[in-house]
Amino acid sequence: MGKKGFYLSAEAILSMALLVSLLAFPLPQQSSYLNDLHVFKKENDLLLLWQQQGSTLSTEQMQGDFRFAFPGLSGKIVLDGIEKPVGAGQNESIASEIVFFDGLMQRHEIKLVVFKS
Amino acid sequence: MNTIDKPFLFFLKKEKPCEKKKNSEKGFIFSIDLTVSFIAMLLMVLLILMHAGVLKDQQVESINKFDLQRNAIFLADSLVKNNDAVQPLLGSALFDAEKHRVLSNNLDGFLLSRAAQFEKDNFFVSRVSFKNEFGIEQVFFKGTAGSNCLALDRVVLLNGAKGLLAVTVCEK
Repeated sequence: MGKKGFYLSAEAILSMALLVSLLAFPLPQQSSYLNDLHVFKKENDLLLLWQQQGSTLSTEQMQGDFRFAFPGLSGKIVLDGIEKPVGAGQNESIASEIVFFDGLMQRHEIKLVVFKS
Repeated sequence: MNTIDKPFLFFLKKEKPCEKKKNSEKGFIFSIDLTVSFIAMLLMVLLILMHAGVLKDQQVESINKFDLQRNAIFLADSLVKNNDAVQPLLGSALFDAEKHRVLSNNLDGFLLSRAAQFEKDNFFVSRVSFKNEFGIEQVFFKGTAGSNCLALDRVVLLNGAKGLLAVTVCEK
């Protein structure tokens, strides 16, 4: 090795790679999972309340309820196939769905989607 | 039958006289290269230990936060889905005696107003309030203030009125 320069042996490269990987080891993120669970539970709360209202439901009222329950978040409400967006859509979302029969035994289906901020 | 010529006599072998060492100087030679590499290695070990300490602190903080958030979520869930006359903070939903079932998310305001201090293991409930659609807030329970607290809300019906029930849970 007559040439001038800085030489690194295979062992040195391996140990440096090991050190870098050790320092860059990521911590598990647990809070995000619980935030999603909380949003999911609130979604189910809203669906339960809407189910109790039965045939008197209107999409405008549901949009108002959504803004009240999830201030600052956007989402989507689908009532019997009619889709109503609330705010601008995003990619990642948490969704929940309910199927129920009202007092007149009419079948209703509500899907609620909350986009993550 | 095989015989052993010289069994177990190796320890009787005469030792050869020591060869003359090329390096006549005695002691431990500590070169500059070795010193530099030794210092570098010590610094690396220090760096790894410091990093491990920081990771441990972050992990402990993360676990405590996770624990508090988990307790808050499940306590609020219990409050809106159960009926507990002894400790209303664990369940204040209406009970339909005719149907023999608890009406989830339909809260009994009278029962909730009787809420008493509740604490368990490493957390306690600091505040429970209800805010209706028009922004009017009603505080049902106010305990001692804590240092590390977390508040979350649930959508409920309280005596027929729609609103958000806010539950504040603090670390002991």
